[in-house]
Amino acid sequence: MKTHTIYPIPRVGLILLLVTVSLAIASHALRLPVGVFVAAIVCLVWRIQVFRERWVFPGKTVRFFMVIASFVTVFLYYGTILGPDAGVTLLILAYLFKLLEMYKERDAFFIVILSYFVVATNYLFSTSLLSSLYTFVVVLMVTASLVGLNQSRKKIRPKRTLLIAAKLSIQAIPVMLILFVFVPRVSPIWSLNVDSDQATTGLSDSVSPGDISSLSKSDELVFTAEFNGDKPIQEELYWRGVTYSDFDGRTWSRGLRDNYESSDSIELDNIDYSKKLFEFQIIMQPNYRHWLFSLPFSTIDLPYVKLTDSLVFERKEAVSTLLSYRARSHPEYVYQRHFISPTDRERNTRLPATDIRAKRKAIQMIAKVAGDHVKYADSVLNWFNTANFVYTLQPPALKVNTIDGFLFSTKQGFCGHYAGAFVFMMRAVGIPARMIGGYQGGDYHSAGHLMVKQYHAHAWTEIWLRGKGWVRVDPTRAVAPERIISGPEYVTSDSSFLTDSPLSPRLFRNSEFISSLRSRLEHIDYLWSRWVVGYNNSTQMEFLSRWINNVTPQKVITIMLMLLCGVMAVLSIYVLLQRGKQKLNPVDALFLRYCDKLAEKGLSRMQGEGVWIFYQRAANHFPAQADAFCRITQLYDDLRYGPPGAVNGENNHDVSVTLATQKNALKREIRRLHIHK
Amino acid sequence: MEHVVANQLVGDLIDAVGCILIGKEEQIKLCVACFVARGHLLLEDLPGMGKTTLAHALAEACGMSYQRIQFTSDMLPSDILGVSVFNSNEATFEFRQGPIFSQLVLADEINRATPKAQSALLEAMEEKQVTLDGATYSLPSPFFVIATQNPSDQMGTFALPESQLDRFLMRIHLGYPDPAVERELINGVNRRDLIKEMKAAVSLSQLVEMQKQADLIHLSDAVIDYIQRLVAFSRQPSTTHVGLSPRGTLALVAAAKAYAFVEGRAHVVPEDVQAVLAAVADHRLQGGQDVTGHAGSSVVEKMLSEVDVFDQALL
Repeated sequence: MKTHTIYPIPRVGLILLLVTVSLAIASHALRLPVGVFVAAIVCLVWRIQVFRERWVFPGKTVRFFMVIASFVTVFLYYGTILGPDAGVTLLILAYLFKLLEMYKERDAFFIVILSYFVVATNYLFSTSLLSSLYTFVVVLMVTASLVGLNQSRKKIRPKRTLLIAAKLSIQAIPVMLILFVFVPRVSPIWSLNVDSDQATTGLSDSVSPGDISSLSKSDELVFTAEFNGDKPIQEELYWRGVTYSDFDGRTWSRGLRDNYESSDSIELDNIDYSKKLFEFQIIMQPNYRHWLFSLPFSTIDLPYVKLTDSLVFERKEAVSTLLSYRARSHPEYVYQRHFISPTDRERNTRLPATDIRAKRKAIQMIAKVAGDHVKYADSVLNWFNTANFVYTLQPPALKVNTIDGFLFSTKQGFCGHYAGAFVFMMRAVGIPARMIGGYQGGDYHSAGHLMVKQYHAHAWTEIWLRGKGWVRVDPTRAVAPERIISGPEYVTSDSSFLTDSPLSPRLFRNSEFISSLRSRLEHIDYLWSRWVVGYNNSTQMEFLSRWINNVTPQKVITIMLMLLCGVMAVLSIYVLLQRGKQKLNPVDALFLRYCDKLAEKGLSRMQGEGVWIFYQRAANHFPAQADAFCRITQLYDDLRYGPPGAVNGENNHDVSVTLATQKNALKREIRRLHIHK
Repeated sequence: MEHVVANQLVGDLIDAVGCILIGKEEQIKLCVACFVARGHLLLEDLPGMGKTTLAHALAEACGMSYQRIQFTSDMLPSDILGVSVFNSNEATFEFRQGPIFSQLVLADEINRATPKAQSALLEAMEEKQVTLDGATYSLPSPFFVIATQNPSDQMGTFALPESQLDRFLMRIHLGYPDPAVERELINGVNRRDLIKEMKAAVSLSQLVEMQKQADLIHLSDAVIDYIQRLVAFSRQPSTTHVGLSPRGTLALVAAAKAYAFVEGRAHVVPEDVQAVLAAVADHRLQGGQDVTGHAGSSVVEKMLSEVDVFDQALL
């Protein structure tokens, strides 16, 4: 068998490298299949055993088998070997296997460089402040192992190596900041295949109120909005997201016409609006969907986003990272005032053949108001209000004829039930109506921005009235008006609201400390999202225009280069100065600390006074401590003036060990010293 | 020779001389250090302070041959070095060795002689040989010169120039004795008589061995740093007109090593440097203010008090 001459990696270097590898993988821990961990442990143990010369590196056949096996396993697990998840898993496996192929020094460096890359892949999945801080720690470790590989065997001391790495990283921070602030944000020309399988909470393509017996009460953040100027009151905060126009008797679903590819951007001329205006910036958490949230009726400043003819925003790419955009909303708008196209009318009045009772009831009711659409809508709302309907987040499930079942037997439901039933009642008499899904309300943070969370999810309706266009009607309001005015937590009679999650605000609402801590953390997180993760072209422009008049790319690049040169100049001056500069010997520093201790007791060493003469004086002054003084001075004398290896030890290693022991002894003596007369 | 034995010998030597010249422990140590460092010694003090006694006692204690030359203004180099005399029997010139052909030479009141005579001695000190009428005669080994001079009575003297002061490794002042010591002197036996009864404390070969051992004394970087800071301080224009020369630095190192040896240490500590600094640097640091070279002592005081044993610049 062919034997390799193996690069003898220094022990400390290997330990640093293995710790680094473990930390780099750990950040992916929750996403990776368990098998990867088994592989990781096997590889790490194998590498350690190779270092201890117990085992040998795997041969060519074994390695070939390992590669094939990992491809097959990843394919079986994910169903593909492409895409971020499968790709990262493969990368990590390759990274681990590289540990078992470390023949040359070059391979060790390769692993270090690969570590940087593996760390960076973490940002495909998470951009939160915590994970960024963690990444920074890992980068520090990677740098430390890079430093460790470059140190001669004798010189490696983990603490010093880490210090060097920290110094390097700190020196890199100004450069990082400048590049971060000034480099133009270019949207990637590729797109990651992030599919909507990831969406586990929040709004979905379709909603079937009858199937849901317990609504998600998560307090996960959906988006934050920061208003410039006027802030809307709670009743104005209807964040539109999806229009559900198709109903099959059970399920309300999004019309296909709202998809990015099949829809056309509407003509804004069709919309009349008054001067009332809200301006705000939204920072959306990734929801892996294509829709964006905004107040009606809005224009937003993102490319590749269409405003469909049901006035929702459809983005070409799913929102897989934090997305920030500015919007202008005109709350007093009229859309399609006089005319609605036959296809629109047909789609928004179509009903399945089920739920006969409801249809019959609708016909009776419209007959009572003599066919007046406005009065009819009011009378339906009035019915909801007066006929013992109950708002609850845990309604009984409905099997068939969900609308009939809800309206005439259970009479219990949440927003989806009321909105669905109301749209049904409208369509039953030919009034175009649709259900809107989105969020209602939001929590104003004390710092001023609005936080919209999963538990603000809401459904309401829009009906089309000739002369008024599309009008928002919220049937839930007829049943539980406090839901709209005060927020979801004041509505339900059941105390279970949000008490499931361990850190729910409701659970600790009485503890001022926890709620203020929570609010502070939310604020930090918001600032992080707003200024770091959400720092895109428009934020960049906004930020830069605070300092520069008339931002142009040329100006930005010039300033960036100037700043970079400045930072480099400062750093090089610092490095050059440091290089020429000698440091105070650490042993001297220790002795001077001892001198300071004595000085505190009123006995200072005089300028030019030698250590032994000072000892004489100190011993006369504090006879009780004379022995300790003598030991300290003798240790100092041995360390600084004595010949190396005076005590024992022949070779360099022993000498350095002896010196270190003596130094520690000196440190200990000085720490222990308590001077008294 | 073992280190411990060497220490014992040094102790014996100092004790032996100390019996004769009482109360001058520190000066005797410096003298011994000067011998161990193979240097020449300049004793500077008023008449009757024991300069000659010290020199004589040192010679006896080391078992060295000893000659005393009294310098006078009419002295000629041949009075020191020797003279070629015509031997009429063999019809040849025959060299008669002068008093300098001795292991220890006491040059008394060196500043009374003319520069010509002074140079004859100083050249011999430096070269350790005498060249006369084309022939070269080696001086005995070891070879030490103890010169004395009287600083106060300057009438009709020729002060040693700086270049020649440099030849002496140390310049030592004896100073007045303590009253107690003086009382002992009054009550005691005549010192000259005591010297006659002295036995050698060390043999010549032991002295040579001690010199070799002193060379091996460890000089750590920390002490070298300290010495360099001292030297650099002496060279500052604000301190003195003329700083310590590199030869002065080497002299300081040699003296400090020898002093550490005398103190029984295996390595030099800054205290050793401080102990020899005045003796070594004083006569080399002439600010030019004083013909006898008295600018030095204040400079040395400044050096000792202003140059710290720790590098202040790094604090």
